[in-house]
Amino acid sequence: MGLKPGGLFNNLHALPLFFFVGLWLVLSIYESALLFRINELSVFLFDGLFFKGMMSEPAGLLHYISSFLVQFFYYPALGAAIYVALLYAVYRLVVKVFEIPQGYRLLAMLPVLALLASNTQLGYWIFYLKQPGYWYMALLATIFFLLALWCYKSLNNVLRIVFIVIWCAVGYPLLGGYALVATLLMGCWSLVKAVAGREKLILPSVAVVVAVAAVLLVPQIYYNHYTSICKEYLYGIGLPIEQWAQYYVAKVEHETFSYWHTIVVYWIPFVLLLLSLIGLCVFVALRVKSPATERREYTVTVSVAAYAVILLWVFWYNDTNFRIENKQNNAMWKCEWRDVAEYARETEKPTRQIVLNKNIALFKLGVAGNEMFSYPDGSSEILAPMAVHLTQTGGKMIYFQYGKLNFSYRWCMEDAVEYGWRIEYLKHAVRSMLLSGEYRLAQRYVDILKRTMFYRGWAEDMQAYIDNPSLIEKTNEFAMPLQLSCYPDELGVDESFVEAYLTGEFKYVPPQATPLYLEVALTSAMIRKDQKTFWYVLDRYFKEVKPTKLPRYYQEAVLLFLNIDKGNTVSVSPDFVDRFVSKSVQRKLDTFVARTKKYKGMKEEDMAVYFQDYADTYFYFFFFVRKIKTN
Amino acid sequence: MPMKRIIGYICAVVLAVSCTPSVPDKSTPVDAQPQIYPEYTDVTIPCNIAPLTFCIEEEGDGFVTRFSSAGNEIVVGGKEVVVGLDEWRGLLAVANGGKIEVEVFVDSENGWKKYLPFVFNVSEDSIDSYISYRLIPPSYVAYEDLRICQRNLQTYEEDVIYSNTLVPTEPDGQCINCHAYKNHKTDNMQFHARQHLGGTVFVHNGEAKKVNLKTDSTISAGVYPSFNPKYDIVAYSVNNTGQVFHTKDYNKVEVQDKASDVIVYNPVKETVTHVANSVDDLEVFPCWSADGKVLYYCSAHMEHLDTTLSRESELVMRYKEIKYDILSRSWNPETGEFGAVDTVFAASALGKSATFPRVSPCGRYMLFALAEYGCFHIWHKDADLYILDLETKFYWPLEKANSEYPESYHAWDSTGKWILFASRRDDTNYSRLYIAHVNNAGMADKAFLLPQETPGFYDFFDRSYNVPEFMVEPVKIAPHEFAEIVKSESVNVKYVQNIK
Repeated sequence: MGLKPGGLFNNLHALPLFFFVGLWLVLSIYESALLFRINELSVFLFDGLFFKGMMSEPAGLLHYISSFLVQFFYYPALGAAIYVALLYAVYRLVVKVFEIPQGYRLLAMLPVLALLASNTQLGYWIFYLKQPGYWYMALLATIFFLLALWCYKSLNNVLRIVFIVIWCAVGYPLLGGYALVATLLMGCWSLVKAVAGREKLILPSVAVVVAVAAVLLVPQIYYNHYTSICKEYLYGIGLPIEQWAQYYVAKVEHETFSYWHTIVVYWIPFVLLLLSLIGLCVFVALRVKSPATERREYTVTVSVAAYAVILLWVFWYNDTNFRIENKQNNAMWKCEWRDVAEYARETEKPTRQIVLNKNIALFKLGVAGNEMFSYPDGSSEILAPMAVHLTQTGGKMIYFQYGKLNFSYRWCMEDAVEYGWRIEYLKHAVRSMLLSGEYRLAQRYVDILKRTMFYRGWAEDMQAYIDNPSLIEKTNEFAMPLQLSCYPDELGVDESFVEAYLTGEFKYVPPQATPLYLEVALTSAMIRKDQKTFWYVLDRYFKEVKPTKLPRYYQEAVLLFLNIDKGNTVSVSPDFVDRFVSKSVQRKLDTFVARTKKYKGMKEEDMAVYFQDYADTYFYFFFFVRKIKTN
Repeated sequence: MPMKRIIGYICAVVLAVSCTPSVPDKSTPVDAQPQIYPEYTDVTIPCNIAPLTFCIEEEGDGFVTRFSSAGNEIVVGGKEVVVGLDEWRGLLAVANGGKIEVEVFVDSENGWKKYLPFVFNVSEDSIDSYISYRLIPPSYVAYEDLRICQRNLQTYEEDVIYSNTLVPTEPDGQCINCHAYKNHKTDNMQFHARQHLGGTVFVHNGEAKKVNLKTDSTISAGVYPSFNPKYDIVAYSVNNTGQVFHTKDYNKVEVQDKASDVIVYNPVKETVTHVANSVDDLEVFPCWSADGKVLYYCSAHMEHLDTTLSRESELVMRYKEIKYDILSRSWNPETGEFGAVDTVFAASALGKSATFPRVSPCGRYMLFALAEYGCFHIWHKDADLYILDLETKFYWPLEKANSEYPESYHAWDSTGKWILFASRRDDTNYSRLYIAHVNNAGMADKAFLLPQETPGFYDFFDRSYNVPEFMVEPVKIAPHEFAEIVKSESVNVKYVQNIK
């Protein structure tokens, strides 16, 4: 059978289209919470000072446009559409600029895949990146490069040399290190093409020399113009060079697996992007212009597809807990508290953030005492090679909801310094200062948010509270933090450990504690398994709240602690248990105790297997949920 | 869109740009001054300051502002009031020693309204041409991009003196702080870099070097500096500083010294020695007298009472009891010996804490910050500026210059007629620079915010200004040269018993 161009695989020409449509669906549905969070961890202001600030460093234009585009992730489907459209533009430009013939066109997917991997690999890095427009920077730089190469190709050899100089000189302040790489690629393209075409090498060689000289000299010339960049980062500015500058290896430990991770891995997509572009230059130089044979097309298709699968399998950060945390966070802003709680059921081994968010939701719903131990509990390790602190990922929200308004604001400021102001920080700053009564400060951040594209409405809502503070107390959203901020001021340090700090704080119950504060203190004592505090707070709870019945888990704790104490330190009135602890709870403890006797002598972790039908009880939590690492 | 309409729009824009605004013929008087930001009404300004730009915070469709003095006037249109530099200088020259009257007209639904005029009192006392300050986000522990900048007060020109982004800062980061000058000139100046590539960048007679001021006998490298105006000697505090956070107080953070002493440094011999280092006292903020023969400093007496607690914990527990007095010791430049300790201002006896003494160039007045407790008054809402007359020992608050928010980090200009200080009065969190005129009796006029070319500049500027200092000339060493100095090896100082 003779091989002919096209043929069997003609229908595969639509493969890239399927890929882009599929990618859009995956991003806008499966990763919608991530995209929304990325938008919230970025900022773009329609303001001259914002523009000036961005442009004060090389790659400023790239930062500016990228930040502008990231905000569209506010609507994940829209943001994903823009992102995918730009990736598609890269694909089309590669085909056009490198004149890739039919049958080989899937090769144009190579830079696209590398660009995609550079973003999907991030995971918890989204909280620590210092480039608000990271998602688009490499992508836009690639588009600029391809357009520049397109122009470059249309020039004669002499003009190309001039173009290289102009591109590098103009491109460096606008695109930073990406412009330098593009300059070298242009030189490389000229030389390889000349060698392969057996053309005269003089001018292409000069182009290479000029490209190298421009790359070496242009940043040095600009160095004295900028007062914000150091020599060491001169050539890589615009790339996340400061982010992953240090070489270190970290052990990533998770529930069922662990592995050694080196930070250098994050550079692999960027290297692959570079290699794919160099490879395409060579491809053109080899003058592969005729359409591929069926076998070659088959080979290209299978190879690119396999490459895509492997690359995205390895570089698509896929962690259930990370996804849940983002979903919870987004739902918390929308006050969808039942959803926040239910998301916690999507994992068997939650992180502390998931547990804390769930507890907040249950307090908001007023069902903490009846539901909080019916969800998966634990302290799953964060799947990341760097130290991930709750203060960066969810602490500001948690502090706010627990009424630690200064601490919420403090971490907004600390993180704004480290990573730049972001929408999320601005919103937390507004709310925490609003509830602290610092309206002038809240106004400052409201005014900034009014300059954004998608948060003007939110800012206007907050403006209403600044204009009329009496509305604050009437707003359901603020009830919990206001009720929990009934404590007197004191000095403290959290050392970046949010839960540990909060747990310590709720050991103390101020005289003017609200009923909600008492409940939080009570459950906090239950989580700490602190019987002494539990009895103290319960006593206050009865005196001040005067409940007619106890929520289920308080009943379980009462009965369990009485059982453990055996009347040594705690005494309750004879009818207390009958009045406040249901028969079903009493029966459950009886059967639980009976079963513990049956498996007496067994290690706790082994014994837990036989108690799964008690997994939604406080008894189970008390005996089998151990070694929780607060964060 | 039809071409005619496009041309129409273009013409309208061109006309709007090219038309000189004129004061409306008819207007209804309003019995109030207009709301403007920055709040520049009736301030006293130097005769050589850049134009005071401001926003009119009134609702309207059109805005006209007229500046007039002695028959000369400038008319400006728009909600953002920006005057050209040359026109402004001309008007200042005319108004020198007098007033500039500012009238604001606003076009509202019922026609033009004219607000009550306000004035700029133009002082004949000129101000030093330059100031420098550190730009820092008002954070607590974190720092990333810090800059020490200099600003020409006669224009809006701002340059970087040094930025920590000029050297690689990861992973430790680099903090920069405490720039200071000798006699407002820049051939003898210093600033500190901490953590990565840390050391004191010290310019001595125009030559820059990096110095390590930490010795085995001192608790830290130098912190708050004070150049002796007459002799080659610099006083520093050495501090072991920590921060603790308020859970709900306005003040938000307490910056506390766990231990602090005062030392002096001889930049010629590269030696240091103690001036004050009592175990039970926290000594800080040294400041030389105008003749260079008396060293003032602050000191809080804090004995370690509860031995069940660490000293650090006790300081946190008793933070409101830490009250600083202003003390002094005479210094004999011939022998290098320091005299006995004198109490200059016993703030603790008043239940207050005095910090940052700064003596006027004439030597008569001492400017300091006073609040209820502690040493870091820029985070204390009740902190105000006071002046102590060193001759009469009378002291008074600078009522017109102070606000209900923190004021601190103050400096005198070389003439002693102007003071510069940081205040959080604008939005309660970001410290901004204010300038106030001080007359011969030590009384300050209403302070004005450091003017910017764009009136809305401060709305979105996310840095605090701190450690403002006046200079009569700009720093001549380029930022990149300073960066090379920072990267170089430090000169280690030696501890001696006598600094002479």
